[in-house]
Amino acid sequence: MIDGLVRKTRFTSFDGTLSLCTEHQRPDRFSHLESPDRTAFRIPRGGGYAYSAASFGGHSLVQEMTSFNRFLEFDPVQLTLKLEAGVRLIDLMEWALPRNLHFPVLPGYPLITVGGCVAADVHGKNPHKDGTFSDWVKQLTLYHPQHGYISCSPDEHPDLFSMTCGGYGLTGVITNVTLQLAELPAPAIALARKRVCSLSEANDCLSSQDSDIAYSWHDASPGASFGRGIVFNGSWSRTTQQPRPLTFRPMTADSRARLPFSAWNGLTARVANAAVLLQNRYQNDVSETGILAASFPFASNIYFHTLFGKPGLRETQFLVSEAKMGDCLVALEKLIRDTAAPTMMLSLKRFRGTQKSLSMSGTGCLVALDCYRNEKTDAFLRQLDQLLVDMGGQINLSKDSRISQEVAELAISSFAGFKERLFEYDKERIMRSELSHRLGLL
Amino acid sequence: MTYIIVGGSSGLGRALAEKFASQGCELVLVSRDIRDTAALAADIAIRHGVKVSPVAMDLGCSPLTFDAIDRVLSDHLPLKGLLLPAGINDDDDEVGLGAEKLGFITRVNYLAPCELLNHYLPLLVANYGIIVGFGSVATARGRTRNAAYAAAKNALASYFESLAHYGADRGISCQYYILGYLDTNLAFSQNLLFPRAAPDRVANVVYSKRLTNGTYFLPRLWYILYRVIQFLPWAIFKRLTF
Ligand SMILES: Cc1cc2nc3c(=O)[nH]c(=O)nc-3n(C[C@H](O)[C@H](O)[C@H](O)COP(=O)(O)OP(=O)(O)OC[C@H]3O[C@@H](n4cnc5c(N)ncnc54)[C@H](O)[C@@H]3O)c2cc1C
Ligand SMILES: NC(=O)c1ccc[n+]([C@@H]2O[C@H](COP(=O)([O-])OP(=O)(O)OC[C@H]3O[C@@H](n4cnc5c(N)ncnc54)[C@H](OP(=O)(O)O)[C@@H]3O)[C@@H](O)[C@H]2O)c1
Repeated sequence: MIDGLVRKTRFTSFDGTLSLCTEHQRPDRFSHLESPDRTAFRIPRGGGYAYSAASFGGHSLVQEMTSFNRFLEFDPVQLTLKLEAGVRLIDLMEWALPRNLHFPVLPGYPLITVGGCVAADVHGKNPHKDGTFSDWVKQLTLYHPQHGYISCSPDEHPDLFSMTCGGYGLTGVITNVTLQLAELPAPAIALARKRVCSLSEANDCLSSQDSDIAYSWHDASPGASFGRGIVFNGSWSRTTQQPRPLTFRPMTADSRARLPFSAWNGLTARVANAAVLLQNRYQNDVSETGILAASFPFASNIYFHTLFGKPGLRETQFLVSEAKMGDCLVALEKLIRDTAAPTMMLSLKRFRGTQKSLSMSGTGCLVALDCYRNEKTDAFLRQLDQLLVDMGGQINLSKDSRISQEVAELAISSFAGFKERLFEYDKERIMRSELSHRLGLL
Repeated sequence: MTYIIVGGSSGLGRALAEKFASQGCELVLVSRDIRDTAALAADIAIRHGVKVSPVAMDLGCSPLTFDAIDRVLSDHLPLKGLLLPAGINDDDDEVGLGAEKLGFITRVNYLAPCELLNHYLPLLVANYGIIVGFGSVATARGRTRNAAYAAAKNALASYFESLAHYGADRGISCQYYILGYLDTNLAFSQNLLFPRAAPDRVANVVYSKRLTNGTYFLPRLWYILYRVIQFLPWAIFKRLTF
């Protein structure tokens, strides 16, 4: 190892539930990336926005890839852009928009990196229309200390490519990615808000539309207003306005947890949700929003996350087939009411995609649920795990920091296959994180 | 106009490359590994649309050969500036360091920048050019740690003073920066007493002062700390373990 490149750093999962101190390297040169001993355990890290401890782990060197953030090649005919894995989504979009280009699959925070998006095969605002991140990856280069640099794509080393998309960094460090961009249809989004009284009404509403942005938000506190919410439908607007730059103060796992206590509890959750519903009642049905603001809603609205404070939050996300969705929503509401669960808000999205490695994808409907933490939280979530296993649902490992190996085996159809191929490819299992440890991928 | 940035692959050198390119300057980027400078050259060409040529060169080698830089320079606009942010330190750098490491630290931090400067001086004088060197607050006073590094940077500071004297009536602009801690990999593992400056902020200052002559402290707070350390009574200084 080259002198002076490693320090001890305390890492915390974005949900604030796990924190540990381990070795940290921030390579900014290829020689630095390659410098650790070939057998040293390590895990790549992007922006650190996974809710779970997917990009750090005890006794594992964290290789933070944020300095590998250069744009490498642009093909103006094919509209493909080759860039390094540490490029943040905001940098990609700020480069693309003035050139009338766009990248359709954007998770909700601008400082998430391209490498993190591939490794968790993330989704954007309408996975039913746009699929997941890996659907837009043409090629990637992977570095593994024992295999060197390998270029892979759906045609070249296809097995390694599909293991890496949704592989949570366990196949190696992604150094660069070639993305398929799209032409920007218009500089803004016309976002329509429709109030709904229940989850099932929102589900019906979402299934009957195919707009560019489609998701719903709901009050999930177990009271009279449970399920009330708003369905957001966005389509490109013919406005002449230019895309507005996004101004925001960066939020990290550490800054999110600055408040020493959680401001969210049963009462404050109900009050805040009622305020959101009230605010939207008086709002125009349709409003024009810049593409960046519509894509990264959590950039300017940091209060939701920061008010969970140091105790943190629990989020869980699962995907259920459309056939089972009706029953699932009824059972979920019953479970929340029966257990007086510490749930705060819930969101629905329709989904389409191909499940790979450890990713959450497929055709169906996604439920995302946020809980504040108290003595009931983990017991409630265990019951929810059982419910989603019974419904044949899939879970999102980047959003839920407590999924056990048993649940993962049942709720990720390709888990066993991924494990077998990973053990074959990386015999010493050099790439390790708390997530891989928890899932028995050692 | 073209600038050569020696040590242009990372840290301050990379920030300087981005700043000067954003202002439309063509660049030649020099460091040991062409993979780094080629990636940065591609990035700058895509983002800023300016021409950048990467060159691999190890400043630790002796004698230095300039052919590779000279070759690419012929494809660029006239040479306007030479920025020398390359630098290296070593965890083992204490009094008593072995000859090989002592030689390497001295070459990279002192001899090679001076050789480069001497080689391009005629061209820079002809173009009323700019030469920028970078020192360190480690030079305030010799300590057990960073002994060779501080000595080499002190020698560089002295050479830049001579350069300023030489260039005074020859129309070149010459700046020498004494830098405090930077948020780069050079000091990544060190527990430091004061905050690290962002390299892009330092690069902005370097760009804005490029037509001046003088020695500057960055961040400026370091001017006071530097003088305090220089004037600390020996009885106190010898007990410090930083
Ligand atoms: C406010 C907020 C909103 C979000 N919204 C969404 C959303 O709408 N949709 C969605 O799907 N997700 C969403 N997420 C989750 C987020 O997109 C994922 O967790 C993503 O993986 C984070 O990427 P990162 O760059 O922060 O990487 P990290 O969190 O640092 O790492 C995540 C995983 O990627 C791996 N990784 C990172 N870089 C590399 C690399 N170069 N090579 C190999 N592996 C690598 C790590 O090992 C780790 O397994 C959101 C998160 C937050 C905090
Ligand atoms: N960081 C600090 O806290 C600090 C404090 C005071 C002063 N400084 C000074 O500020 C300047 C910039 O430092 P930094 O923090 O930006 O350092 P850095 O991030 O380590 O960058 C150093 C640059 O020098 C190049 N380099 C090193 N050895 C080389 C060699 N043998 N041949 C060719 N190129 C070589 C490196 O490229 P390759 O490694 O790829 O060759 C890299 O581009 C240095 O002069 C340093 O002494 C830094």
